[in-house]
Amino acid sequence: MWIKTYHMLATYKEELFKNLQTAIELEHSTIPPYLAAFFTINQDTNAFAWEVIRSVVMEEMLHMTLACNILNAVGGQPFIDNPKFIPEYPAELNFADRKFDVGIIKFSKPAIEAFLEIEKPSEQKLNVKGEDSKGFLHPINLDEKTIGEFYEAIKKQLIYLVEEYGEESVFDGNLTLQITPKEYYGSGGEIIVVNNLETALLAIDVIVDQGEGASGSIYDSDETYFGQDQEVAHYYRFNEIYVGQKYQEGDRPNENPTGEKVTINWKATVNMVDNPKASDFAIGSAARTKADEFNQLYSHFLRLLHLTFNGQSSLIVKAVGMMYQMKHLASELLNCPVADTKGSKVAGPPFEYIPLDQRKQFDWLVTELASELEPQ
Amino acid sequence: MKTPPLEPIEVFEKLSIILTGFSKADIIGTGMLQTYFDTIHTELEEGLFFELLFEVQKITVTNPEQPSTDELQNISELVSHSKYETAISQIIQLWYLGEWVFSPTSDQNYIISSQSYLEGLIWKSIAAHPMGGKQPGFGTWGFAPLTFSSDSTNKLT
Repeated sequence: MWIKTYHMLATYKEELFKNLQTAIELEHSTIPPYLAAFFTINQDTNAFAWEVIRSVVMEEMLHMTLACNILNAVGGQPFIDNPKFIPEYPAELNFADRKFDVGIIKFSKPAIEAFLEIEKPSEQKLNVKGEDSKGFLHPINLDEKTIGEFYEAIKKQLIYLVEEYGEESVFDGNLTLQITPKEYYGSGGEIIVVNNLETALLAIDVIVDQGEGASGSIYDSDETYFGQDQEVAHYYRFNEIYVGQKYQEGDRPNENPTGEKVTINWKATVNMVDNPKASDFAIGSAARTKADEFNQLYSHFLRLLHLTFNGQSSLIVKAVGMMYQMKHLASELLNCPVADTKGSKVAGPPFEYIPLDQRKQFDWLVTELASELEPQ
Repeated sequence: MKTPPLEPIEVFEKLSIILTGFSKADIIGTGMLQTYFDTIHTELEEGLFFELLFEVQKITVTNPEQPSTDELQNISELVSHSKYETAISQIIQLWYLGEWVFSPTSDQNYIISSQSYLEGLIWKSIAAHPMGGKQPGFGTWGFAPLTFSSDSTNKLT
């Protein structure tokens, strides 16, 4: 009997691990597109949009970290340095009722439309539609209609398992794997150490509320949970950019904002090619050299994140350093003209995976992490 | 096969790669090529810049990132010519400092723009970041500089 029960829990857990790994990949997959929009506008000419996208992308990084904490708490293992971890952009997002593409494209109305599709709350009726998917490698498949419903399903799974098998059997992960507020800083919301059902559910609420708003509201719950300023959730922040107007107290989820107008300069953008790929650029061109360099850096970075979430949490400081390097490299790429476009367009960050055995030497990584970098 | 003559801006790119020792990708990546071209054109005495570019164009350099000994010899002769010496030194300082330097002690020297300050090649040369810009991330100053050799053929084994 005991063996049977234990076996059942293991089977359920496999399913739970799979869903949480999908959650990590989903959170990560939004970051390159958000960053592309962010990199292609200027803080001076598009101050409002710049600040909105910056704040959202920082929170997506928090969400990814929270998802890793939950997976580690239930005894799973996040896999980050893996070719399937990165979708091929434009990434295909498959929800139960719709699928659409999210690309690495410059700041534009179509970009924001795709972002609205991603963050769409349950019951949201504002009619903004992203482009239909054309179908690419490594789509992200969800059985639910929204990210909120996807996480709701994970919550139900957790609650069921705790009721059936007890909290200690479900949350049997190694506590030292948790990323704590000591390692994580500088973002909306806060990192939550997950060690039981209560903290797991809280972490999920933070993810969902920051994305689509606490249920029936345009606001996230950072004020309630963390005593931070009241803040409009991602979907609604993107909608503020889309319609060029802020929400104000009393505005409702299914209506457009009625607050202060904001200036959005859709034309003041860097003219980046859509979904840049290193192989699209001529060998020897500045665009190709920098794109290859970016992909190398990004892939090393994923390795470092993988190690961070698998026991070496102090490495996150170095991972953050690499994020800044990626930002500076991206800005160099945006200075590199693309020959096919007769110089009218520039390159951009491709976010492509380089297999471990094709990664080039990266000085301090090699000296300090040589053993961990061996293929496993 | 005769290759078409280079545009002045392309000759300037070639000259910049040779003078700074940085790769084409790094030079283009600064986003400063056109700005510096215009600056030099404005600051140097009438006609001198184009004369220099004309002379540079005449020197064959197959790969500006790795000039051969002979190519380097020809370039050296040109850039040490008394007519161009000062201008060459100003161009190098422009790339490294983002600053137009009339003379080391002149109070007329000026930084071209906030971007030129950030893009000064000196920061890459010393594996540091410009003060007040391109921040490297909290606490990263405790680690060895993050240098990435794009031309390195070394692979992890």
